[in-house]
Parts: sequence; structure tokens; C-alpha cells
Amino acid sequence: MTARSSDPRAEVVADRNRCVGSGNCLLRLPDVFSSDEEEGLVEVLDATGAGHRLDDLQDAAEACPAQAIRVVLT
Amino acid sequence: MTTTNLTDLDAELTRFFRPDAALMADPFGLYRRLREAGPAYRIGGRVVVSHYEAAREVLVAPSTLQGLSVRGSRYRSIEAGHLEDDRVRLRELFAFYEKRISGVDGDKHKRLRRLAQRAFTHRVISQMQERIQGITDDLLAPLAGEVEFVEDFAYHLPLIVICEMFDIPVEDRDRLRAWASDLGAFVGADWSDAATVRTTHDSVFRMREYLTGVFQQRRGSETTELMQALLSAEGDDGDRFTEDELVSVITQFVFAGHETTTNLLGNSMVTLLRDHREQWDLLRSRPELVPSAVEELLRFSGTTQYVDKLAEEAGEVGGVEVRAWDTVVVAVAAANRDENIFDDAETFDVTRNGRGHLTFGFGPHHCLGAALARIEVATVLHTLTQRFPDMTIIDQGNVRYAANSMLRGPHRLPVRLGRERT
Repeated sequence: MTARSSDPRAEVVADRNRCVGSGNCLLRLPDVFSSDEEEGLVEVLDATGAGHRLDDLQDAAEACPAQAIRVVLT
Repeated sequence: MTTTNLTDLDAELTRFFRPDAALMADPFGLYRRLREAGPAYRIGGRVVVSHYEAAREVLVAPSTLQGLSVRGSRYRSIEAGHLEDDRVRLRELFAFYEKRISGVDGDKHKRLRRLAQRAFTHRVISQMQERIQGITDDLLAPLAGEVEFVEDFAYHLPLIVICEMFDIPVEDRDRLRAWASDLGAFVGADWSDAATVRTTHDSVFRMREYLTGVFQQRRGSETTELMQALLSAEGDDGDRFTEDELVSVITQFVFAGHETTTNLLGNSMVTLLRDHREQWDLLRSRPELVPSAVEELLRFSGTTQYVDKLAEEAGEVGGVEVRAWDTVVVAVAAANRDENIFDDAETFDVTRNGRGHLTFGFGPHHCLGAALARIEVATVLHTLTQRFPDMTIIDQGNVRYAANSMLRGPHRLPVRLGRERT
């Protein structure tokens, strides 16, 4: 688990249909996640999670109460 | 494995659910014994979950429903004991509770939640930040010397914020508070007690009548931007709140938005001023630690002790058999001190980030007002540590807690503010 997320093989995917707007992701990684103004649902700012360790991305996904975030390794 | 005498544990749990004010002053020994007994523990028709992983599992499982329901065996076992009039009241009460956002599940829940979510977007909450500071300053301005922290301060702030957000007359907040606390107490109360049923029934319907009146006035006239957004909130295919739903939703905001935060403010003061004074002083000198302190306070001294869920089908939780329609009590305050998840879980430390706690729940019902609560508590902590660094609790050995096992908090907290720094 030492791979860096700047590694192009990691991609952050968020499902707005599942999102409950908890803010858990943006509290952890505010430069990767945001929420839109109208509905308050997740938006991915940087799907590559540049500058973050894969562990941290997976932590943010794990912290989502709605299980709306996945880190896909391609 | 420590051997806990299970008979003692049963007795203590029975006392906990009664509820018992003295036990609520420090329920953490009970929580420890529960964790030692295993991930889950059955007492009567309740299965109490105290381990973090098992708690999270239950909170996200689609086969567990929200706890207050006429389908639950707890409801069915007490219904027959009531006189006909009270039985009708009880049914009407449950019909009300089951209509709230946190009373419904699945697609029904998703629809209401989506509409309500618009009131709590990041943008709305950050716009409130300045007001929260303003209200905090206004509340503190006339205070000096000895102050009743809960009555003079903590209860007002969250309620004023909610009133301002939803354009409810702030001067009516004493009435709102009385109704809402009856509503809150009922969730953890003994439902076989006729007096409790009557009081809660009366409060719920007065509150509904009052709020219905307020919203009828707001519709079609000038109101806050947020209220306007809710009145006209449209989901997919032009879906809108019905009048009835709107009242239910706002009733819940008033209830969920004040007592939880009021108690959290009280608990935070006790933890910092009585039990960990050095960390209060640390926050004074390092205000940048406040957001991390808020998470740690939520983990260690949060208001919500447990969340009731209902098992829709028979199964198993943490090695304990669950029967259909059992109540599964997710003891989030116990899970927040699970050593398997948090290092030195029973140690309070504002420099650790306590995030990951389950105080706001987990799963589709995660607290809608989490960001608002965080901002309120952070604002208060920052303001008080800077302005009243010498603040102390008067008669520290005598902090009294409310007899509410679900929502923990001191109901009286006399403090001495000390010299004001500007």
C-alpha cells in the first residue's frame, strides 16, 4: 500500500445518487472532494487524487457513510 | 477477556434504559463492560451493539430499519397495556415519528432526504458561520461572573440558529424548546407510561399546529432565502414537499438541531474544564486545534449515546441472534471508545483527530446537520477559550445530568466566567 495516488492507475469515483452529503470526504481531502451549491452532494475535483497517498484516498472512501466513493485501480 | 458478571451487566443495562440520571453522569464503565462482553449483547427484546465494526455494519445494513415503528416488538408489547384513548394517542404519535426523515427508509427516505438536503449544503452552512459568531457574541455580551451555562447560553444558540434559518420567530423559542424536549425524551422513554404518552402527544401536536401556522404565513410572502428554497424545493420530475412533510421535516430540524448541540456544548465544557483543564489551556494557546478538538469531543463526549434500529428479519449481529422486529441498539458512544479502532480510546486528546467517530451515525441516515453542529461548537470553543480563558465550573463534583439515556448532557452547569480578555 505504498503506491502513490499520483500513479495514474488510481481513480476516484463518486456516486451522487448514493451520496448523503455528510461532508466526511471533503473534511479529509478538501482538494479532492467538494459539494455542489444546490443539492449539497459530492463532486470530485481531482479524480487522480494528485499528491495524496493511496491509503488516504481509500480512507476517505471508507469514511463515506453512504458508501458512495470508490477508489478504482485500473 | 475479562469476566464480567452477566447478571450485574443486565442490572446495569436495565438501569441505563430506565433511564437513570446518576448513571448518565458516567456511563463509560458500563460501555467498557459491554465491549468486554462481546460485539453485541442481548437484554430482553433489545440487542445492544458496542463494538465499532459491528455498529457500522448495522447502520449500513438495508435489513435494519429506523427504530421507532409500530412494527417493532417493543411497541407491540406495550400497546395492549394502554387504555383505548392512550392507545389512539400512542398510534398517532408513532404515525408522526414514522413520517420524519429519520423515521422512513429506502426510496421514501431518499426522496425526503434529497429535498431536505438543500437546507444544509456547504454554501448555506458557511453563510451561517458569520451569524453563528454574531449570535454567540450577542448571547455572551450581557453575561459576567457566575452564569448558568446551559440556561443562559448553550440552549439558546442552536435554537436561535435554527429559528433564523427557517424563519421561525426567535422569541417563541422557549415554547419550541419545551415541545422539542418532550419529543426527544419520548424516544428513550418508557412507552408503557400513560402520562409520558399524553405529554408527548400534546407537545407533538401543539408544535405541529404552531409550525403549520408559521409556514402558511411564509408561503407567498417574503421569507429567508433558505425557507424559500425549501418551500419551492423540487426534486426529480418536479417532486415537492407536501405541507405535511414540510412540517414534519422542520419539526425534526428543531428537535434534532438544538438538544443535541446544546448537550454537546455542555459535555464539551465538562470534559475540558473539569476533566482535562490542560487541554482547554492548550486550545487557548493553539486555536488552530479547535476543529480537531471538535472531532475528539464528538467522539469522546458526544451527545448521542445510541441509535435504535429495528431488525426487519431474523439474523445475527456480532455473534448474537437477532429475531425479526427486535430493537437493535447501536451504542455509538460505546463504539467510539473501541480500542480496536482508536488507539488509547479511553484517553481524551484534542491533538488526535477523533474523526471516524459514529456520533453522527453512519449509513443513509447520517446526521443532516453535522456540518452545522461542527461549526457551532467550533465557534463557541474558539470564542470562549479566547475571551474567558479562566472560566471554571462551580462545584465541579456536582454536575447533574439529565435522565435521558439516548441524549447525554448536563442539564445544569453553573460556571464562573472569570476575567474577560479582549
